[in-house]
Amino acid sequence: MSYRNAVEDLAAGMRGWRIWTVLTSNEIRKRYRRSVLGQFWYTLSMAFTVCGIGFVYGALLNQPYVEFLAYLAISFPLWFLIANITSDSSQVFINAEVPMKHYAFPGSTYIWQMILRNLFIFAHNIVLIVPVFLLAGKALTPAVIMVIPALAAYILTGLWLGMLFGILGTRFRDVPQILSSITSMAFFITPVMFRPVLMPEQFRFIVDHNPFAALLAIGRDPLLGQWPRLSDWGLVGLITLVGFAIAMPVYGKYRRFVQYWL
Amino acid sequence: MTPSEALPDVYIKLDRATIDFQLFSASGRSLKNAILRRSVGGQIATDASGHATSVKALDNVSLMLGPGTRLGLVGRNGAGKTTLLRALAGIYEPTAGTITVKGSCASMTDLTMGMDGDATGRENIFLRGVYLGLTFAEARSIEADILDFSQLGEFIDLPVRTYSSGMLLRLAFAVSTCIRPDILVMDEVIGVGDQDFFERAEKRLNALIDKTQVFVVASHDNDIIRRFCTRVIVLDHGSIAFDGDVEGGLAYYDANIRGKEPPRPSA
Repeated sequence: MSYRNAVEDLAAGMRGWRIWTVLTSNEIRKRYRRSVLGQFWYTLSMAFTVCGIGFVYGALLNQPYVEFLAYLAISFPLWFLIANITSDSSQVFINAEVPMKHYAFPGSTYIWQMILRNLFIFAHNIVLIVPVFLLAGKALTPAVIMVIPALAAYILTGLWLGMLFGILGTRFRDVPQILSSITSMAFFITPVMFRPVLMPEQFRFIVDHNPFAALLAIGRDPLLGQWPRLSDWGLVGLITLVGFAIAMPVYGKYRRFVQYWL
Repeated sequence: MTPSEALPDVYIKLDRATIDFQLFSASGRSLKNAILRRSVGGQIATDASGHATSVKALDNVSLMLGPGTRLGLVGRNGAGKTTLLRALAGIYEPTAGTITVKGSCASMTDLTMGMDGDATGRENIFLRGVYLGLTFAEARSIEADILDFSQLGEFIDLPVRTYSSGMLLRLAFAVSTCIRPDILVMDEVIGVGDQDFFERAEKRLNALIDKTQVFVVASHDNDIIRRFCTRVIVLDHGSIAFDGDVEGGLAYYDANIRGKEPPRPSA
């Protein structure tokens, strides 16, 4: 019964794709209305982050600057996508309090809105690889095709996180705080600013068993010109399955209480 | 009603529907307390009741609204009118009992809902159109009709935050009334604006109501109830106090409810 509720809600949310595309585009347009650069502020601020961190950490970690810049221009946009999907997942319904009390849209509408918003930001950030690759004399390889299943995995991750933590975060207002602490901590133990090979052998497990690292790797490796590792995809697949197995019944059972908890 | 009896294509049926709002304090929303409460078991029962106050907005309501219903909801503030309307629109699911809604339903509980102050009138027509369930092409095609009704002229391409409240209302009303649902649920929406607008709004609303099969409006204005409804339900403390014809309902409300002690939350 709970499963069926969740499936019906997801299906109705997909059928109502026009609503969340409009919700997302309006949300972004609203944020950048009357600014000259508009949504390209995403790109510019990402460029500042990558150049600044590249300069300091390239020196600290003793990395060749341009090569390191290319790594960061890939790993940072991917990290922001993964981390923001994770921390935003607990606020999907809290942020949608007003429309949720006036429209009977399926709850997954707001989860899709969160995913689409983050994909949109990612699309603006990832264009940085064009100048950086030109600078570094690097090129994409056929392995880049594996970015497509990686994006699909991010979307699925956003769906189950949104179903599970959207509900929990609305009921228990500590959950959004917990999730944002976890993602900021995860930033330091995930190879965003450093290459996994720099991790000493005895600490390699931090990278190998870290779901954030696996999610990052399945998108980063193909952009770097390598085929993704089976072990990373294995971990992502496992977590996605377990995630949906927990999220579906929770969502199906408690979705109808969300309006009361807002 | 027996199960074998055929139901119409469009109807709303409430079967002992109850809506109970649990009001959580900060400690009631905290994860730590929820875990502690669970691990300590029944012992905390007295404490748990201290945490949450509940408001029974709808209490055991059974109701059948078939095609042709023009229902007016009457009651004091806090009697459960808006909650019932939102439940009919599928926003609140009952905490006990069932509510079945068959047919497409539109609710007009807040006309300007979903409008963006920074977007132009034209953009807002599109936004609201899509939220009301139209396709992109349909949402663009309603523009002409809305421009004609709202008489905004060149203001249509300015951000709506520059509009006067009358202009905003005209636009919002025009957009909200451009769809053709089977069921229309309204919460005290008209009665504002100048006389000329009021007359045109009433005409447009009548045309809309004529095309809907089930119409429910909550209002404090007896004129509105008399003009649009053929049946009245008086709500009090979340229950149905009266269900019958318009004059009987308004008389019942005046005699038994108006001016009495207002409802209170129950612990």
